[in-house]
Amino acid sequence: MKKNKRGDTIQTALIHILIIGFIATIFFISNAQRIDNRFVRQQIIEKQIALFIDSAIPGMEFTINKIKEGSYINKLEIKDDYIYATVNSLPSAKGYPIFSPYSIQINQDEWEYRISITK
Amino acid sequence: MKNKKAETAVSEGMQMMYRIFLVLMVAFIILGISGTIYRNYIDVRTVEAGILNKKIFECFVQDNVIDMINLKNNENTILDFCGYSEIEIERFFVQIRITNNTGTETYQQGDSGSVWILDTIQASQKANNFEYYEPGYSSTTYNVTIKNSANSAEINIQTYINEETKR
Repeated sequence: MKKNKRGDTIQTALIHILIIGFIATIFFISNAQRIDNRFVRQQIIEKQIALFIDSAIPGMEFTINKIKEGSYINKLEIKDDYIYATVNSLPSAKGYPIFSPYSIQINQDEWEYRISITK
Repeated sequence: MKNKKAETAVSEGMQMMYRIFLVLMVAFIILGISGTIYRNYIDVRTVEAGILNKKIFECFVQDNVIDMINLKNNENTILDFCGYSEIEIERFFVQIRITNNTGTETYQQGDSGSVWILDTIQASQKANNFEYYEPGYSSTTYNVTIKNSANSAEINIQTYINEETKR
């Protein structure tokens, strides 16, 4: 009877350890993905382009490759002074604010986006 | 005896289920909290403040000559005059200080709360946790000539950029 009880305790402890280990693994994997995932790449791309636009003056035109930082920019658009980039099929929920007083136009071809700044 | 064994097994099983449930609850609470707190925030506000600073300078100063009439007519609408929209202005605070031989004049627009937020965060040693709320800041001083006058002046432009607004 005593032996059984000890066996039960060990079994219970083992199951607990396995569950905690499983949850810890999920936790570390999810955090590791966050560090190098589409959200981060999207944030970098949106902020880089926003800074380009903010610092540009009328008459400037710059191109952005659709394949950038190892990611594919599916869509790039400006709405209500915010820039939105869909990266690796992940649509942008928040976007990033731009503060250019000029008119901005985005054109695209197969390989790149062309952003033109006009008065 | 048989029944007692079965009862014990059932009660142990129930206890086990209860413990697993507790462990899972604790784990999900930890995951949930870490998920909301953890963020990879890339802060570009200081760069934005630098860009805005230069744009404001270029807006009022051409060929190193400042048009004081433009500035005085837009004492509290500096950003509007330079073409920035209402949504953009919500994030900004701009202060222009002009010093010449007659004294110092100050013009400003935007959310002046950014100034004390920055001062408070910079003064506090425990403020590392509030980096997200620290506004981007840029201050530049230029020497310019006043239009229609031979006088020179020193112009100091300070720009503050708040965190992006929640939408």
